[in-house]
Amino acid sequence: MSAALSQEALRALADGWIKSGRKVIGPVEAQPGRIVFKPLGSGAALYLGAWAPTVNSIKEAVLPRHEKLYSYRIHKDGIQLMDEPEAAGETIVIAAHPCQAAALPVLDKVFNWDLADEFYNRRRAALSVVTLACSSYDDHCFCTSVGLGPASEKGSDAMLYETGGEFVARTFTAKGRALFGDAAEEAPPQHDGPPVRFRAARAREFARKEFDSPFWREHSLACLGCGVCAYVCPACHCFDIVDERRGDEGFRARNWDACQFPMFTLHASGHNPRQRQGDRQRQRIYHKFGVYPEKFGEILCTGCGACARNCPAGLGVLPMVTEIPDAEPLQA
Amino acid sequence: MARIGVFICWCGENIARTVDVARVTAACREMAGVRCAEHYKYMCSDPGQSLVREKIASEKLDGVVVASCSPHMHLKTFRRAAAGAGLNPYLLEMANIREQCSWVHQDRDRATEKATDIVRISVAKVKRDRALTPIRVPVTRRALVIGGGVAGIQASLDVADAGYDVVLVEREPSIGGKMAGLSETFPTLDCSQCILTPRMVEAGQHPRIKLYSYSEVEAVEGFIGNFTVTIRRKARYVDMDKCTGCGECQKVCPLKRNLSEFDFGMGMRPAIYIPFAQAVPAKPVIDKAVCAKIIRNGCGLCEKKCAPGAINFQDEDRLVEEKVGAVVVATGYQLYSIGREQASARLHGYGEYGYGKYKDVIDSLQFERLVSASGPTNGELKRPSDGKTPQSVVFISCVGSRDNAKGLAYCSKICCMYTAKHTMLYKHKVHGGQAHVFYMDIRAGGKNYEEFVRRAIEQDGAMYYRGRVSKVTEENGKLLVRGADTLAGVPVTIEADMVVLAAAMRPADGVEALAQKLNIGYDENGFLLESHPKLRPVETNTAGVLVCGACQAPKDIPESVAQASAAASKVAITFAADELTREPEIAHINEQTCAACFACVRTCPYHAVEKAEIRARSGALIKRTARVNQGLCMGCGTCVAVCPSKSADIEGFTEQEIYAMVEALA
Amino acid sequence: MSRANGFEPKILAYVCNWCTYLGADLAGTARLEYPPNVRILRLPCTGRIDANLVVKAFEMGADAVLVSGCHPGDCHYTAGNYHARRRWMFFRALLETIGFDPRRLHFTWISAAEGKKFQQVITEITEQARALGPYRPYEAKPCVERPRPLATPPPAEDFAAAGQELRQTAARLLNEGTVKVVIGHGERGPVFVTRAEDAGNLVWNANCLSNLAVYLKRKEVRELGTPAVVVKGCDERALLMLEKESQLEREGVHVIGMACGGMGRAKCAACDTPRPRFADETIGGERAPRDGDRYAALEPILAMSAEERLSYWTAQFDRCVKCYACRQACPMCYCERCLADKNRPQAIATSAHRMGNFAWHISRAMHLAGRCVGCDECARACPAGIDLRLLNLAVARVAEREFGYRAGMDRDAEPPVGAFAAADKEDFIG
Repeated sequence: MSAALSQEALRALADGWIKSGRKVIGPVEAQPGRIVFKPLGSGAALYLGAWAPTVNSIKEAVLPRHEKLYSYRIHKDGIQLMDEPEAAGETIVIAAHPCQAAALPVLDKVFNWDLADEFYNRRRAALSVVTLACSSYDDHCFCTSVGLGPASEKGSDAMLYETGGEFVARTFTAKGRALFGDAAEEAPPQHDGPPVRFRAARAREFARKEFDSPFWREHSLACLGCGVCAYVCPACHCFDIVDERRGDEGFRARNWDACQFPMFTLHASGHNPRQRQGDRQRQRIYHKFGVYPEKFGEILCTGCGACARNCPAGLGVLPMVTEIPDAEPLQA
Repeated sequence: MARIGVFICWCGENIARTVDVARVTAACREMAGVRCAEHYKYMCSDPGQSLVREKIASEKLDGVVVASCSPHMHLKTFRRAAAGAGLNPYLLEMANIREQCSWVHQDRDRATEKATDIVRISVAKVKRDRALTPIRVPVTRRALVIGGGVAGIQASLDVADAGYDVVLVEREPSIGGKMAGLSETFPTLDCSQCILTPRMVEAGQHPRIKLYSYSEVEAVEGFIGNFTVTIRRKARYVDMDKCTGCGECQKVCPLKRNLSEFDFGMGMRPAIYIPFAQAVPAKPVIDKAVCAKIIRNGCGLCEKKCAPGAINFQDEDRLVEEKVGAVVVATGYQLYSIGREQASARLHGYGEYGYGKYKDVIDSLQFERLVSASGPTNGELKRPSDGKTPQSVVFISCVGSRDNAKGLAYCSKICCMYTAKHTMLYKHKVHGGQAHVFYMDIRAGGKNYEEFVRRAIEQDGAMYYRGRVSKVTEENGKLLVRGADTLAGVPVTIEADMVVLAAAMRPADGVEALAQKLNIGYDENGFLLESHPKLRPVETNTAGVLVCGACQAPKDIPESVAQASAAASKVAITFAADELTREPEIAHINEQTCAACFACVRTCPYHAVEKAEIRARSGALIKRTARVNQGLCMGCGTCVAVCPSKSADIEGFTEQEIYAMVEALA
Repeated sequence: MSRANGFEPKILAYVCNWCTYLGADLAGTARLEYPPNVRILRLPCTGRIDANLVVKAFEMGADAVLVSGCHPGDCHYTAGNYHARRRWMFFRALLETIGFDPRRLHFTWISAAEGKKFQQVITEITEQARALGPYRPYEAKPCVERPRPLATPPPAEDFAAAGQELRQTAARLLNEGTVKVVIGHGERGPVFVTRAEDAGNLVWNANCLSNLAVYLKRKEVRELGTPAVVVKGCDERALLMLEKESQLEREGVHVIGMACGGMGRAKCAACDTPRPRFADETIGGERAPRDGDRYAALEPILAMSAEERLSYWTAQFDRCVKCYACRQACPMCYCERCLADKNRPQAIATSAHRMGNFAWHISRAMHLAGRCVGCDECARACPAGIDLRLLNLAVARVAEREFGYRAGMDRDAEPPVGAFAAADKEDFIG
């Protein structure tokens, strides 16, 4: 498919996918100025207006905020476990920014490290991601500081490029080709990304060397300890395992969790190794720029800026990391 | 997994007729954690209880559900049985399948289904039940009696005679209260002091009674069995140990014209004085408001005259602490303030009666002093203005009481009787005189009371007018009393030499503040609240605090004395045990998670939750927390409902137990 | 319990041990027959029964719930039923706003002598529930979202002069040593200025939305020493409440009040505290209070049918991810361990599923009954755009209309929850 798609054609394409029984997730203007990813009832709901950041991320397609793992029933003679019916049908994400898709290969690693997470993998295998190259950015965006850009192909099965109100598609994987056929080979002209705002290597170095620096506590005084940053982040993937019980029946589920909650590291003894909010902020930065790259070779951040954009206290990765003193100049 | 035993009772046919007990038993055997389920004809019978005990032992049960009648019927029975078999009794629950199932349903299938559910709920609860032990509270076998009037004296003597120590606190320099100032008492006309003063002396000398006169209760902390009371011993300026009570100081004191409190202003006393001849303790006190030595370092004659050197002008208030296990409040009454300032804006005086304006308009307690043999006139009735013997006296009853417009709706109860008494005392002293009484109704319920009133009217010739007095004025040295005789339907004007107002009884000054210190309730009029008007008439809602006498409601001497003895017996009951045991089903606070918002403190109906601090060994404050006083908590759980973090919980009905029950219904 | 020959409702009765439980026993003793649908849960007192228990009953599939205790004045514990009755006024208003069917929740007084009344009440409730059919509030269809009107733009206000004065004030306080830290607004969010030379980081503009009172409770902030805090008139109400609830010693905080002509939030339209009233010093002159209807935002919701309301809130709560930003941004949410984090038992499911989300938001609104100061920080913080303000308004309206109480307005006024009056309204009690 080399011809450009009009908005209508794109919506019609989405409608076709929906009609074929697939779940299509795309940006929707839920309230004026508030763009969120949600399952589309029809292609008409798809937001294709001027560049705008989304509030949430597409990670829910592979890691739902609440996912039943199995059910159980306590009997007279023991406990019976019952698998949940396989929930993941074929799912397509459409018109996500590249920073959303870029998180998926990063997540694949942690979910297939010492144990292949079948729940994650099942959803991941059934997921196709069609991104929309960014035509603009805002003050919170910093993809270029973490090695990505407005048209990074990482994690995308196909990508749409908007030119003059129409969309050109390129495909990168078989999944992408299944959706768009053979698309254009040439990449259309790209838009500028945000300027490089910090050096990721410096963040890593600082977090490691200055682990005990007062910097962390001083710069996170405003942190309220909620989970917004983690929950809107495309790459944060921490979860909690809970049992919900009704009488002698119940289920085990995994729910999102966030390192900014004091409870996150609270031991049964009452001891908490991360006593202060500063310790928790440090954890978030160090995990993204230090621990994860060391273990998996990837920065656990795609520069989407959603954390800072949604933080009720004006914090987030960028505001925190740009406070780190750095003697060296930034480079593009 | 839990090892629960379920025992299903047929209750003869009472349950088995409607509920298929075999089916319920079978269903129970399928429930998770149920080790055994049995049914039997009469579970409460000896063989039934034996079955429960045997199974507890043989199956090593760690929880038991007895499905039978209401727990209000047999919970104690079965818990005793469980305890007999070595199971903590609080690990036994009852499932009420009789009163709340078989007796109210006909459909056998559905009743059986419901009975199974009821058992299921109980099984869910018992699995989470915790072994509890009754709370034991040590008892300080020593009582505090507040108020040394006739009620307080009676209560003190009764408790002391029962063998327990008593701390008696009296605000005035002497015990005796209002009764010590009365002339004669109805309906026998026996001399008030003749009956009371021996009791006063007895109380003053009783080896088990420690008397703090001229003292007030400053603070009360703690709970039943364990109160700590701070008592303010007001500066008396007389060393009680040195003073012999000789009275020489009173004689030399130059400042003799101070109104006597004991005589209600009908007589005078010096600046250093013993309130009355039979006072206990019979030792003086210096009125610091008038003493020249204290005010301007003048005089000092008493000090010079006092042979034992008991006068101490440097004396100061002192605070002493006493540990007691129970408190009896007997703070008595005062009279409604007729014309003068009122205690609250709600109350209105009777300016129209000229009290305070005309010297010969007096209240009933003043009249008592005027006719008392020990009074300022030595029992001769002389009117205050000119000392003449009044030939005509008008008594007005219900002054303040039964009059919403004046602020008090209640009947003061004793005024009808003492007014009748007053007319008789008057007639006996002034044979030619005429007593007139304006009344609303005559309330003479009591042994020989009605007969007494009839005697006042029929033998002693008192004139009774059913009606109110609108105004009292003074003309030509006479008091003109204008009123109505509603029975005759005519206005009445009486020329009187003296008017006596039967003012209502009100609780003594400061009783509300005292009630707050004791965490007990009081009504809109300030009378202290009993816990139950019929079944717990001398108890209050704070365990260990009892009330008696006129502080609880207007009452006469015999009633006050009876109530005082009742309160004393409650004290003795509390003190009879080595320690108090209380049901353990009360609240506790998880101090680790308590946020110290103190919603529970504000809400607890018993003031059983207190603000507490957790401090490090160094004394540094670690955190503040709410804490339940086990002696006060009654286990209602209102604190749990208002606790946002559910750091409060009640044993026996824990959050876990309750939610397990609800979830069992899913 | 459903049967082949028709629907049989499940009724759950929470009763007190001393009156209604005995009333039910008496019905038994007198052989007064009633439908067997009810399951009775014995609790010590209605004072123990909180909103969470009622919500849990509905979660467990109850088609109707009864709460019953002693008549007023008869409570075994003297006042537990009065407390329950008062809390119920808030709870009912909240459930009404959310769209729970009020016909499914019953509150009665039944004494130990009223076996007959117990029989009647259970019979009526069962028959009504049978007629209404199964109650499945958690299966409501979420409504299509309706866009909310944008916040009103802030009025033209000269922030510059006040900002200058604020910076000078902060520098002075720090220089004098009056305070060790000034908690104020910065360009990006809250800032904590500890050195006079950094006072320039403080700003005063239309983005100064945060209620900084929330920081006074934080350990990290307390460790910095005596704080000064910058508050608007609305924020200040939280200080009064924190003081009332023993969380704050007013003398230990230097309060810098900022007169405010509105920040363009919905709450600003009815702001009657444009100028802080109890601050140690206030910057900016008098501002005219606005007399808008504080509860106007409730009208569109209450104009809907109960079904529409439930469907509206289902859509709202379905978006909740349980990030707890609402809780964390709330100056009145200061529990050391939130009920939502307590797992034995789990009164509120931690999962961000529909039931768990309903339970959480109902519980939070109830905890704020008579306490919410209306700063709307919860709604501002919510990344899911849930209009939490409406829930808080629903309970705040009860506090104001029934008890003349508004949290944080009057220092001496006693909060309505935790107190009671014998004459409290009980027109909802059967």
